[in-house]
Amino acid sequence: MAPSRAPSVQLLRSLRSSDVYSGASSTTRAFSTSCRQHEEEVVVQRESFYRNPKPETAFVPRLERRLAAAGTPPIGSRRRRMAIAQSQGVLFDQLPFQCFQEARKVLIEDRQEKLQQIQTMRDRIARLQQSDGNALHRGGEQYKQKRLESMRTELEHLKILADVNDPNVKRRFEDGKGDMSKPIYRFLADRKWRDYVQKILIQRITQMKVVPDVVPHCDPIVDVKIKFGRTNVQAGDFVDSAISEKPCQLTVQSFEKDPKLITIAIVDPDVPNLETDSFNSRCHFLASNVQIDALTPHLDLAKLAEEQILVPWLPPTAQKGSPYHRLSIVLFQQKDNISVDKAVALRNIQQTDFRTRSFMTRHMLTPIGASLFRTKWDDNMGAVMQRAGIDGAELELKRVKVQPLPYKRRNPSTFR
Amino acid sequence: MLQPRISARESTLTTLATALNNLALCSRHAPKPRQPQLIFTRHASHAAQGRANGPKDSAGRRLGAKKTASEYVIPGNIIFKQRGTKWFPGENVGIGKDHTIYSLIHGYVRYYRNPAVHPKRRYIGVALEREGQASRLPTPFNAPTRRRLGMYATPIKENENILSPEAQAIKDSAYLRGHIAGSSQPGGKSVPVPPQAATQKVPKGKLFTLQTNPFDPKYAPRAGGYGMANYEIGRAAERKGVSVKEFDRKDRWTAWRVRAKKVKEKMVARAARANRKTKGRKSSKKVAL
Repeated sequence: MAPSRAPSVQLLRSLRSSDVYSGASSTTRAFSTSCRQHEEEVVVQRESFYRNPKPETAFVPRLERRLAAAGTPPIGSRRRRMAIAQSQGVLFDQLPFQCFQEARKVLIEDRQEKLQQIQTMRDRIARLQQSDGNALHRGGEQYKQKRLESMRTELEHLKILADVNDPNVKRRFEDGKGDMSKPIYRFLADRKWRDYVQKILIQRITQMKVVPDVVPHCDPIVDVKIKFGRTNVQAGDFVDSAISEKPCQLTVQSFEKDPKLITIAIVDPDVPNLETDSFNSRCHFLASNVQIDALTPHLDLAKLAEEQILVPWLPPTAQKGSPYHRLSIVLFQQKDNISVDKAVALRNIQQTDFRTRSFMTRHMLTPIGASLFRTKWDDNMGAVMQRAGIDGAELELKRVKVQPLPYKRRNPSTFR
Repeated sequence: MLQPRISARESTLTTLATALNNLALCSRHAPKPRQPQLIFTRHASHAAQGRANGPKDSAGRRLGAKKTASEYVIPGNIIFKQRGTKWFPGENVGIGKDHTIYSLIHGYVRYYRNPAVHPKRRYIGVALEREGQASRLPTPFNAPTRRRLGMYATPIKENENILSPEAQAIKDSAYLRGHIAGSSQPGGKSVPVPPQAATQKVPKGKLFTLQTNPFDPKYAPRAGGYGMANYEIGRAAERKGVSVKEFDRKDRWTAWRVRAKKVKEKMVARAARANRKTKGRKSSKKVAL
């Protein structure tokens, strides 16, 4: 899209702007019943569009590329950026569309109503907190706490309802400028995650059977992303053994206000066991008492504190010929955020025969997130196994041929 | 041609009709205009015999269970043949494109239902054990999958094609040397064709012969063994002095001549084949008299 250099363009543009903003009072004002004052806004002088493109307004592919190269990729769709660039710098709230302004009025009214409800709910909670539980209800203190809890839930719900229809909030969220400390942006992020990413994640962990093989059930409520250095790994990807020799970084996005204490386990349930003709499960990493919240999602497994790590990173390995290994990453919430005692936990852990289910029950853990990556024999695997001190690099697994039972003729006399 | 005529006059008829209409008690009993009526009848003519309704007496399709419950099967054994999915594939079995159920592991056949997955479907599975807990299907909800390794360990056999780094370096450098010597020198001068190759006589019926002199750099060792380099093969026609007329797609005259020649050759070949005694049969077979 080459910029038009015709001199008439500037003229037309100025004419158009003057038509809308200064000369409009006599002709185009006929239908309007609102927002008179918006039209007296001072027209913002636009900066040079081609000299220094902005990520909000660049819509020419060449400028988009320049922005991307500069490290500030364009925001939103090209159509939207084009609309913003050509909208004469009118503020979003003050767009001169009558229907839009009328709808905004309704929304503002609704928001006022919700704010009133929030205030009422806060007062009620404060009153209930001060009251004596036993005098209140025959359920006593227990009833009071339960009631308080449900009222707080309702309060959070009202906070979301107050903002969920605000076009500015929606816009800020879509621009990636949402503040995760506010309930509305957490709600929107959660909804967006559940809309697609969580579905894919659940599909992966159930199809590749992380769920019955490693943990009995998992309803993911936090988003887990895996990264090895600069390599992003999708759930279920095969990772080269040279890449996975160093610990990975996780992005654990929680959508809830309160911080959580979690335990991170990376378990390989596919370690061949030739003696029993089955598979063992090996723990490749285990760390407890890791705090996560909505604002600090990044988690480098190599940089966790010494007292958090129960089992340090063991590079994922697979013998030649063995079926692929699923390195399943499971995040457990510790019950009531009670920290796990390292010495006690280490007493019962067997790294080469790790029982996730018994570990879960012993420390009262609930799975809140899961993901996986896979590994198989590759060119670097021998060296990785040697460095990690895992034997079996010189051995190859081959299929045992199943012998059929000898063929028996059942009743030869009746055969033709 | 004679036409039937109405003798009464037009005005008289109209008067009569009006008078009759007036006689009627109400408009409901007014005479309706007569519609011509057509009655179609259809007689039984459907063929009741012969192949009209499709053959009903085809041979049996040999469907049904091929393996009974708790019978031993190995991978690939057919357990059930069916039309449609009377039985669904359960654990450790597969289903073919004609819905044949076959085993994927060695074990013991089980016929079962799984109400947790589907209330009505019937499944066929293969259990790892004949008796005991592991023989029960379906496996309990959320229990880890039961599986067998079914493998043995052997030392990795060193592949002859994979060389040690040193050997590979020697091989690579030799290959590179061979290519550089033949195609272009760093000075930009191409090496002239050795006289021995230029004067070599090519036997009739063979375009060229593969040279396998390992000491000649142009036959450098490469992955598939000693062989002629591609650039040498490409120059075979040049060495032989074969000149080919450049193809011109607008030159339809030449194209027609080539085509006519091919057609003629084909006809000659066909005639020769027809005249042969064996008449297309393989010569090793004897003709039955």
